[in-house]
Amino acid sequence: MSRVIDIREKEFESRVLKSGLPAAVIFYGSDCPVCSSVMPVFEHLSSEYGDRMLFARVNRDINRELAKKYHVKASSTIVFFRDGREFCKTLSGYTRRPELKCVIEDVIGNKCECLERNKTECDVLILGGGPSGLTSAIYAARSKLYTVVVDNSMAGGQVASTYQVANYPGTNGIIRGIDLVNNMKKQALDFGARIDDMQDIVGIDLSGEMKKLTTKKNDYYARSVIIATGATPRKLNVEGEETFAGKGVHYCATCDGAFYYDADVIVVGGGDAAVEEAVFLTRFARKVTVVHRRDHFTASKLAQEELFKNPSIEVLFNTEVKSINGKDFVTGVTLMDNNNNRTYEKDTDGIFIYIGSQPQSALFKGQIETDDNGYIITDENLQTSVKGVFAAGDVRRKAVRQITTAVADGSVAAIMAERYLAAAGHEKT
Amino acid sequence: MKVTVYSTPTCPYCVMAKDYLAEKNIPFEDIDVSADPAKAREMIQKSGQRGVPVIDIDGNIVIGFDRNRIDELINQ
Repeated sequence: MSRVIDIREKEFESRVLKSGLPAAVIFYGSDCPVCSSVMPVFEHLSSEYGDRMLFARVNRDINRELAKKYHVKASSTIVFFRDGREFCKTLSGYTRRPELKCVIEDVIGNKCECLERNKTECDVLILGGGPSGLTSAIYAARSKLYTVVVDNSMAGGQVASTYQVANYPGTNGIIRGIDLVNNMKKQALDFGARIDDMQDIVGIDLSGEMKKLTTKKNDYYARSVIIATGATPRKLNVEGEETFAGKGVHYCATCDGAFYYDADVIVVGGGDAAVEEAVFLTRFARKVTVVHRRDHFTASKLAQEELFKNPSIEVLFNTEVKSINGKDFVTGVTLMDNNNNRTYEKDTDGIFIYIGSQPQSALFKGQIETDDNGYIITDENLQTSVKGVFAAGDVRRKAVRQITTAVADGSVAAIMAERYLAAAGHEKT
Repeated sequence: MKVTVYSTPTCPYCVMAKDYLAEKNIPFEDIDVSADPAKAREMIQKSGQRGVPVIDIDGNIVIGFDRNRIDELINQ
């Protein structure tokens, strides 16, 4: 039998704070799906612990001052009191029985141990803090949706390690990658998004109406999810690549180029990144050799012009790297001429690999549809095979992967997530 | 605790690593290896490799921005 009492603002002090018992107060709203799931649990536990704890119910829509005083922002929120004061942590949003029971026992026992994990409930959970994720955050937060960005590193994505971004509109073509994403990050924060970086992601459950992300420290519950986890540099998968990682094998010229002052280096690849970073490396290296398996570059014409007019750069088309050789550090590579399948050795001090990227989608394996390469398949509104879950940026299957297209994806995904939430009739957190 | 960060100015992971240490209120010496070849050699000798950042925490070498390893060493 429920022992929950209804309390109004004016009687709160006398009946709750001065009751002489520890208290659990649930703030609820009308028309709130979360409340209708939490309330029965709350009522049930009140019959079990009603002798040792006061259980009260406050309608937050009517008792606004009281809700504000205890920082109640979501329905439902359970606040605990001991000796007339707030005690332990507040539970907001979906709360499972074991968790609530654990806290009740803690509060009765005058301690607060079982709530070391933080719990966050949000409207839009964005995975990945690169350009697409941050753009989603800007749009969603501006729509007054409670928006949280989770990143397993510092927010920034691949752009953070791009020395200079020439083709992003409105930046005069001279902005550093890290400045560009820092601007986006600031904009997202200014609009009210929360960014939780440095999270160790444990797992995600996309089934059910509330999606759940577990990290080492936090549990996130979200009404909609935008996957913007991006991609990582693709590996050559040749002998020596792993052995010499950081010892002559590199994937970031802006990071490690400076170690090759007056040296001979090889750049592998033929896209924008390979061609632009080859030019960047001539700041340090005496000679840069670009090795590409096709007979032409796919980089922009302007980037190619820069490369071909640079006297320190040599290009080997129709050539593949077969192995990377050395002792403590890289000393050379074995190359193959694709025209005649002839292999030969070439001395080099370092090799920078820019052969595209691979999607970071392993976390969602078996839960959403991807193509054979792991890229997430979406419809034109960027919805994945799971309702309420969207994908944006490099992690998505598409033809063109640029910062501008990542940003475009980010805005589409956020707007579609907002429409999804509106159609599903969710109240904003 | 003595902490040294070997970095280059154009390397974002170096910036991240330094921001992270600053956030944790850990004082550190920042060495720009692109401007100091002797220190670059010292870093290669200590770490056995040529990628930045390299972080020396009381003689323990952390390669790259390996947050778990950094946490482990600064929480000891």
